Amino acid sequence: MAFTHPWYPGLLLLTALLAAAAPGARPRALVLLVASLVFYGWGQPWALPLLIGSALLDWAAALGMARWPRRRGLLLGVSLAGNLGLLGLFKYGDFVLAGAATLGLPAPGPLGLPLPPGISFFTFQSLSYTIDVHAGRLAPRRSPLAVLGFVALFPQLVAGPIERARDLLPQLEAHRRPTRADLARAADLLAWGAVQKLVIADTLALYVDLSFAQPNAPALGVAAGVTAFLVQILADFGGYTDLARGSALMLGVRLRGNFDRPYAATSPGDFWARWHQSFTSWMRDYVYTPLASDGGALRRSAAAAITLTLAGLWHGAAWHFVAWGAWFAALTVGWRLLPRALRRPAIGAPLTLAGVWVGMLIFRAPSLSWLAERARHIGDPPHPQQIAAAAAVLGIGAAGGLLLTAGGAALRRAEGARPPIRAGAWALSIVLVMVFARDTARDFVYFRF
Amino acid sequence: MSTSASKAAEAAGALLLAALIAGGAGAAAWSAGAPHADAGPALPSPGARTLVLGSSVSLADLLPDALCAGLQEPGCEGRAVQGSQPAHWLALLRESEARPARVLIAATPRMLARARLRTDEDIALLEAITDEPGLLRRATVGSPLRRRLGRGRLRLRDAALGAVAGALPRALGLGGALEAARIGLPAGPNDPQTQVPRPGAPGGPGRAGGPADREPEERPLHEGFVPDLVREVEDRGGALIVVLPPEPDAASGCGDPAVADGLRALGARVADARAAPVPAGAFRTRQHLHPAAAAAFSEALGAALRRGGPDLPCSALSGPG
Repeated sequence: MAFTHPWYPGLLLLTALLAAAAPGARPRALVLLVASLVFYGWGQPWALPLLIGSALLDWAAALGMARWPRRRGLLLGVSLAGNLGLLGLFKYGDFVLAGAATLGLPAPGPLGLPLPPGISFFTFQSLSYTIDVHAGRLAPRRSPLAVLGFVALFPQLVAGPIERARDLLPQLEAHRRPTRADLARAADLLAWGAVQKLVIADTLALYVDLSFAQPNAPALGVAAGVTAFLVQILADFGGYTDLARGSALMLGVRLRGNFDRPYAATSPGDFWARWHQSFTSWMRDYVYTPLASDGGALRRSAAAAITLTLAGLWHGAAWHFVAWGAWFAALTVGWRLLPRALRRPAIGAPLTLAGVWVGMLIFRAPSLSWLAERARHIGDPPHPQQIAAAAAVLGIGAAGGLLLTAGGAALRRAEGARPPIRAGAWALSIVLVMVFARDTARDFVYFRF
Repeated sequence: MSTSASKAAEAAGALLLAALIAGGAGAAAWSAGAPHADAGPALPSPGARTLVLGSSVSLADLLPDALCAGLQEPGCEGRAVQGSQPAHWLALLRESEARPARVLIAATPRMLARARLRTDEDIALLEAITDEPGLLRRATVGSPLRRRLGRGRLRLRDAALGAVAGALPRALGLGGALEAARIGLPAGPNDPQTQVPRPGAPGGPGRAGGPADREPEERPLHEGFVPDLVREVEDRGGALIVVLPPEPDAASGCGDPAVADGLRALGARVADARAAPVPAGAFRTRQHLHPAAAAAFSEALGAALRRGGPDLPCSALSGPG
């Protein structure tokens, strides 16, 4: 089930009421778990065993670490192999087989396995539990339902934010009811999340898709499409995150944010500290830090390159995602070689934005071959109709960007606003959604990952 | 008595006259509100063995003569209608005596998901096909209040988007070029490419047939007309074959298998041609082939259906030739 499903508000409201009325922490946790399984199993019940299996594997591995401390490494290996194996099989199986066939290696035909929704997110979240238990940062839980409830919590199950067990588990184990302030903040987040997704992202998506879909898309049109895509993807994923945070807050759970004005970053490293923060911090803590581990500049650069390329691959089983990661790896490593004068914020910010723009072109392109084909025609002069269409896409992208910026600023100040102004903002959000939402909401971009 | 009888007759005549006037006025008002097409599309003929239904994608990509050449049998008939929707295809079938062995529809899942007719033209087309729309009309048009509210919302959205998207081109003196870009596109009014707002399409209030005005409601496939179409064709002893049309970026592979699987789960057969080897230059738009390419594709599809039966996986149509 997606947040934009017509029944989602009903599920959320019912769960919030039952969770608030629950007589203790355990019944509340049980309510959240049942709602999460209903949410995930809705439309794809076949994927439920994978979610449950991933959580139970990590519950057992963590419990084993406490019972047999000498085998902690082996049990962590089992957890890693299980989760990454699951991810590899379902997400990358056909990609690897196709690559092997291209290289002339003996390989069976495509497996054709469906991609379980949110597998990239819940496997990483589940892994964080065993890694933290292994590192001694967290005590293992005896109850399998506690671990399953942590992995499956529905507001953040399908597309994050990827929460750490040490942050989320204690919240689920406590009996905390949302306060009035929480509910008002939840309304802020839900209203603004819906506007970001249904008004800004879905509207821009139509123009962006059109810019990329023309059989002979002109370079100017693609450039305008990428510019609008920068706004679309931030509104789409930012909207999802705010809907997730607002939903969780109604259940008395606080989730972390994912974005902090990423296009204002002053360096590639700063961009990654502001973009999809729950994922990038996961990669930093569990991939980059162990790889870099007190090494010199060369080792740190290599660790950054590997981490970012893997981050690209995490987004999808396609070469253009790998290229996207590699591009950011080159930017991040190359940045350290730039003269100090070029790295000053006044110059670094536009340079970073240009680098991010190129990265998003690689990200949004249907394939690398498509990019190469378009590059061959980059010098073709556009005719006036194409210029006009590109200007229109740029204009609507800019309008979306302005709305996104203004709305983000308003959200940051909402908690201090007077009640009538706050209620007016909610009402305005409802009107905007009613006018601009399409009949069928598009899937969130990050659902594909 | 004769006087009374005469008065009664006069009263009855007056009542009859009043009824006629009221009826005529009502009919005129109804006609003005929902214009009827002058002549409906031709119904499938009873002898059709292979029937092509659908909208502009079927019209462009599936040529009956070439299909028959590939199938090596006669009786191919094209009854696709520009700008039509699944409700229209179902009405065409229900109204005809045809018992085709196969009914081919080239369409994207999004086109197949359309369930509600919004514009006067769409409704008039349905009424031109079938004399007694009955349930079909109620299912596709809905209540007048809902329709009015929906259209008001769409017009407001169109006006806002048109103003925002058109501002920069107009400031650059490219307003004319923008309009030409919108109306110069060859796709039909209900094709996916015109479903979306053209970049900067003015599409303001009262602009009949503006792009957003033509966005019909979509439902999940199983809630739309695909199951009805499958049942209707099977009741006539045939098979419904949904042709997923060739795509310009076929090199990227067969695409999401869930699309074809979802259709098969509803009982439709699927000829998955998304990765068919059609050169990029053969496309008039993203989903419409040039006539020569359409002839070659239709003949190849017919031959593949003859060899492989009504259900063709992506791999069966993605090979050379």
